[in-house]
Amino acid sequence: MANPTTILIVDDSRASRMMISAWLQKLVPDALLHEAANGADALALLESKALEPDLAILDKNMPGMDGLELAAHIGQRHPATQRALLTANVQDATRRDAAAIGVHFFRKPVGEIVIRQVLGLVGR
Amino acid sequence: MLIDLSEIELDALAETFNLALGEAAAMFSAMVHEEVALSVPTVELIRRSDLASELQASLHSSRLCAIRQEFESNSRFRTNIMLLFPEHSSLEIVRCMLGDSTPIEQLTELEQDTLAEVGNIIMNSCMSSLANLFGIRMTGTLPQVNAEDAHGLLSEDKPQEVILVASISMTLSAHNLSGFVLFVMDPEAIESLLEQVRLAFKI
Repeated sequence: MANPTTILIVDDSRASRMMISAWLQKLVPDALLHEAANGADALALLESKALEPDLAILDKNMPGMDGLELAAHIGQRHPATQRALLTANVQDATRRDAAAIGVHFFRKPVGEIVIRQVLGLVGR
Repeated sequence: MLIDLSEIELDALAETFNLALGEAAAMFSAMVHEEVALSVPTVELIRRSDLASELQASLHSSRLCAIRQEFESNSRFRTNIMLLFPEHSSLEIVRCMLGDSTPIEQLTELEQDTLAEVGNIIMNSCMSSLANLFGIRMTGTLPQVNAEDAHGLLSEDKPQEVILVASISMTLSAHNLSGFVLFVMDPEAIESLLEQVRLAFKI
């Protein structure tokens, strides 16, 4: 049997993390979910647990390091991880910034359709 | 500062905010899982203190909950965006978003966080529509949530200052909830907004 999909969720809003996790648990019940409330915690979590997530779902607008900066760090250290940026900031400029570092862009608010699209990145 | 807006400029301003807010209403509707009715947007020049009195009257509440962000751009354009509703409806909005099955203690605990996220999504969506229409890049602060008297929220110690306000009301009819989204621009920001609008609409 294939290894379960490992997914990292980073969002400063606890309510938002709860919604994302709830959808993921429903759509991929066997996935291993890890959560962090900001970029620094997320990087520390990846290091301390030696995680190599298949997918990282990142909020754009966070205090400290924003989702794009975090995506760039994850891209350098974990090149196999698919990175999904979740945001309501759908400015053309932000889309270009995300595309430039190979990050996939998905639109908040979170719902079943968005989470299914994100899971498409890892073939689930 | 005297500002004279022509009819076509006012019309273009209303259309600008109509675009920005239509998108935001669609997002809000998706978050609370029900239809959101929108008023026609109004654009007006008004004293801060008069705006506070009007909002208090139309929301039938002296204490309002505000979620706000400040946005600036790589042009001179900048604006504050606020989502306002009566303080007593904030828990109901959180319940609409998280679902009826969430226990009340958890709703209360998550209230600030959820409201900040609602505001973040609505206001970033508004900002994105404006940035794309104007062809500029905008950045915003993180959302701030606070509840107080309307005059305290809006006066910023300058109750007599005339500001440009674009507003639209959003109503969740199934829950009898109403709120406003406001774009608030001080005198210096108004001229830069007009420049952008004239360019975008080729006036």
